[in-house]
Amino acid sequence: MPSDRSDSLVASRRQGAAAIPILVRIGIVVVLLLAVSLSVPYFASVDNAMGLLAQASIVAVAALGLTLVITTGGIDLSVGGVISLSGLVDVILIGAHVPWGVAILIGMLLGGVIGAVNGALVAFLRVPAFVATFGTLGIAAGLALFIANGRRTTVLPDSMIEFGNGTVLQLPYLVIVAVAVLIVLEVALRVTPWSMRLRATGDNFRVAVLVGVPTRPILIGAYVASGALASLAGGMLTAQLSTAGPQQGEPYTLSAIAACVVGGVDLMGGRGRLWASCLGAIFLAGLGNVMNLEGVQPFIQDLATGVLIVVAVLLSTRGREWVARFGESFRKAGLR
Amino acid sequence: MTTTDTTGRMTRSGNAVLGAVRRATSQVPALGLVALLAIMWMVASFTVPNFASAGNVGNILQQSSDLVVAATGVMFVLLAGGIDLSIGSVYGIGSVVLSGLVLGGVEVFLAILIAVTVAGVAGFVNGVLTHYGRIPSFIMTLGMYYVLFAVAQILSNGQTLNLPPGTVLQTLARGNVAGLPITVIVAVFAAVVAWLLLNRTVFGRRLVSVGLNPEASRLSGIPVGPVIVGAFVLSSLFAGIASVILTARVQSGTPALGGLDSNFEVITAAVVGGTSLFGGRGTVLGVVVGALIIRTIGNCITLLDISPLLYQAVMGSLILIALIVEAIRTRQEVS
Repeated sequence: MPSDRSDSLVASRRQGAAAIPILVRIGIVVVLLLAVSLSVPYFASVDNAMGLLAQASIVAVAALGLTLVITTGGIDLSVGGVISLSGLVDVILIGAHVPWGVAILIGMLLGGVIGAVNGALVAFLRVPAFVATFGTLGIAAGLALFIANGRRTTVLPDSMIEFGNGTVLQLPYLVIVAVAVLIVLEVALRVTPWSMRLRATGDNFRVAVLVGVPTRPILIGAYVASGALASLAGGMLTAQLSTAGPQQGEPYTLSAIAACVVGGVDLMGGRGRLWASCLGAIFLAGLGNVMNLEGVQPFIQDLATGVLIVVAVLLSTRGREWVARFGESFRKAGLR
Repeated sequence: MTTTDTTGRMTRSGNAVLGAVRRATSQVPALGLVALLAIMWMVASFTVPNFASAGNVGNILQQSSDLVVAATGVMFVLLAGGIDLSIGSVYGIGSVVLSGLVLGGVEVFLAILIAVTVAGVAGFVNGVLTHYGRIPSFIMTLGMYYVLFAVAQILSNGQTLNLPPGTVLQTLARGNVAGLPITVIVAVFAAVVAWLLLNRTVFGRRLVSVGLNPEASRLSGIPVGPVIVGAFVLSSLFAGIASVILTARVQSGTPALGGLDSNFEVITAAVVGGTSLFGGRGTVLGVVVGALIIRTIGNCITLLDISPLLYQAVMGSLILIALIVEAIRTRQEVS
């Protein structure tokens, strides 16, 4: 949150953001991947890898938008509700004979509008983002429940189900979409001052205002992007499951936040890499995949995901400090 | 439109409507809420069929008891400037632990004590990791929500634990003392304890101070950490008590007793009750009335035969409305 007041539970900012360098993180992932490939049968097969990537791409698309929001120092808890709601809206539009591609685009428009509400609340009223987006989460998830009730089931067109489950040259369409979104955003961030302004807004809001960063459009834009991309993820999920349920998006709020955190986005704002968030999503999907292959109970998988997120945030907030203290005690031991 | 100066702060020259809203809501908010509730009840008794029937208001009071307790608890966390999204699962784990122990032959009162203690431990972990681990409270408690839900599922093996008839828990849910339902007495007792903690103890004073300005509180020697941990423990303890009331009401232990909609309900009740989401401002009376308002709305939705599925959307809208009123009222200074 750009307002320091709303960070009141955080005693001090910037103690240890990005405690573990990104290259070390990638190294850890590679080592883990090798270890898992050798020990878990079937994990290293092409089919499994592509299924894993398709799974990751849905979370990744949502996480990409969320990365923009978190970089401004905010958060978007409405992601899960928007995914559910837009999936249902897509299906209803398809039932009204709208082509499925157009339906997903209209869904993204709706997600963008919800994002604009979030953005306006944060940018103009300066309210804590976690409360504003919690409110819109309630509205989106509640509307999803409402419109799903008593709706006749719509049979989705084969081409849409193919989009959700098919591959081209072994590569799932969903992965291609996620990569396309990543490339578009990366290019947009690099060729315009957008990236700098996002980071300036999240790093120190008052300074950003003083140096003339248009903080309001930047904030609103980030939330609009997050809402629209969550809707796209909702469309992708609906295509993959070939159905839309009122609560199918719910777990994605936490998964998307987790992907960002594992990817090293600083929850206090000012820091984040889009591609790293995608790697975070792949890491999480891999974890789920391995647990599935090993036959771990779904409840225990939820437990593991919850603990993982808390530990990942803990490492990002206190990690560097602990590493430093550890090194200090080593040095003292050496002197003696 | 309001104008803004270079620091992004709304200037004093904001328009008259905003000023009027601010004036209207800044004075004695708790009494204003009581008046609001009274008006709601009056309007409803003329417009909603069966609302004014004998027993309906008593029903609302009885159905509000769990919400009053839980919302009063979450108020402590909101006062500290945080949020507690784990409450929905605290309900589930409290319910599963309580029912499991009772089914295992443990004395009911001991089982209640253990269930509430388990809830308190969850709050302790929330508080410690939020303050000392510097994890934003919404992430910490959302993570805890999923962890507790999973633990409750594992403990109950994913099943509903039906309580045998005739236990003390049944009396707790249906019994009366001096004409008052026991659950209502529990709720009143919890509210009085919360009021005393907030207004008559050093902890209460420190909590308000931490919520208003953590840095100034730290510099003036207030032990910020223990105060924040205490707020989270209280939130979970009260949620644990609410889960006992709910378990007694449904006479079974289920991991899905709460859920995300419980989170919405509890936080909406506290926020509608005038608790500031910016920290440091809130009254127990306001939260109690807020809980009654929420359950009155729920009651009217049922009586008017409106889809209960709209309930969560209504809660979300109420949070946003309260947030907007609050932002206009206090004109938060931007850092």
